Amino acid sequence: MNFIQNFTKGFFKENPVFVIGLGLCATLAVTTSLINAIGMGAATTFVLIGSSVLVSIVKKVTPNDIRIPIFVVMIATFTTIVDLSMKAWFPALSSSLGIFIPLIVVNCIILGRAEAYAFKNSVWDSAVDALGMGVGFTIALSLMSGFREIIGSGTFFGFPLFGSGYKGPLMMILPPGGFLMLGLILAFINWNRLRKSNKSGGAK
Amino acid sequence: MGNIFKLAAILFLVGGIAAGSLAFFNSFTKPAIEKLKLESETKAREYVLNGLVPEDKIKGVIYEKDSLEIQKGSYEFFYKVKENESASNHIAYIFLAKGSGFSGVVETMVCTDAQFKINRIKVLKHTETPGLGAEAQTIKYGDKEPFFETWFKEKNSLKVVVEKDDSSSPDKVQSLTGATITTRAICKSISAYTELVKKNIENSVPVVYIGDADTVVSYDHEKAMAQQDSIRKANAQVTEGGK
Repeated sequence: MNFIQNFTKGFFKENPVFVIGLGLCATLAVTTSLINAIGMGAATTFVLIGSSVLVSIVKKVTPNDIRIPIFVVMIATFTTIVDLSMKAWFPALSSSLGIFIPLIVVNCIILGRAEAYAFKNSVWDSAVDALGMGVGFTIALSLMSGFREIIGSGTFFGFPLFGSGYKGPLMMILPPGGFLMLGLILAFINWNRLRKSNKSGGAK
Repeated sequence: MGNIFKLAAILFLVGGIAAGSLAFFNSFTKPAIEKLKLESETKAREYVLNGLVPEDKIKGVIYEKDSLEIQKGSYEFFYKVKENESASNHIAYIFLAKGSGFSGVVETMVCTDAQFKINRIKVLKHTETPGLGAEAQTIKYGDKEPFFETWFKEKNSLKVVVEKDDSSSPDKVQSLTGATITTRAICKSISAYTELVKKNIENSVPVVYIGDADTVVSYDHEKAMAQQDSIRKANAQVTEGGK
């Protein structure tokens, strides 16, 4: 697998949220506004890259029996660094993301990539994979939250689109809206894939 | 068997390295976090005081820090505000009211005048639902302050209540659309804390602690209480002696 493929596979082909189905808890919770989604995506990407690189570096000296606890400690360390720096330098974002920043520790994308990829591949490949997956996660979050924010509160990046009197279906920015939006996007992606495979099947 | 000790030692080492690097990183962020906290507190205090004190005098007011007994043995601070050093009367009380909202604690900075009429409130911290409870902090386009906070102006902070609970009260506050729980939490926390402030003021003796709040580094509660007790005893003796 070449560099470009390795990097871009996380965007759509192996998108961590829409295709692999990881990290759904955070996805459903923070996608109420675009700025939240991008902040969360950036934080997760940082933790992902840090932990993947570190896991890949120490993979030869890590005893197999206790690799998971060691991964978790590493991930927790990076997450705490993100949490502290957000509190210090981006207080507004930190207060709106709240508990979900510390909860990156248990985001299964990160442990999943550490276990499934970084533990078996070189440092450079792991870093590229982590960056791709992080960007893919951010794309997924932005897509979800973009739709939810526009429909639910009628704003885009907090900027009102339909005038101040707009009263959208509030459900979209409440938890049920998260499930609905995720379902719709997944349905669209699967429909698109089926359509494509039918086409290529017809050509045979 | 020896293997277990080896694994434990490795985990211990990893934990130690993680803790060490975090402690190192913390030394960078801690001052910034504390500075931000202090700044936001000072800003919030000046914000809620605005209107009661002329704008050019806000920087010069004296904050007297005093404590409220929230529960048995647990204390929080509030501020008694004097216009300047020589003024004898407090013109305002500022406190941070905390109440349970829909999905967590809602913290509201409240400023009342000496008769407990609300001057201004500011919702500082909450984890309410965006679009519903979070509207408490929303500033509508063209406005200068959140519309929700303006509803509290001039209300009696001891009696402030949600319209749905008591529609005949003159101190009723309309609830946020779809977020009565949040509104109720804020109203209830304000009235409960005002009650505590009132109790403190009625029982308190003059000059327990005076200082510019910004320069207060630590506050020895035991000492302050002991001081308060001794002053109270002395006062009692004076009154008895006078009889």
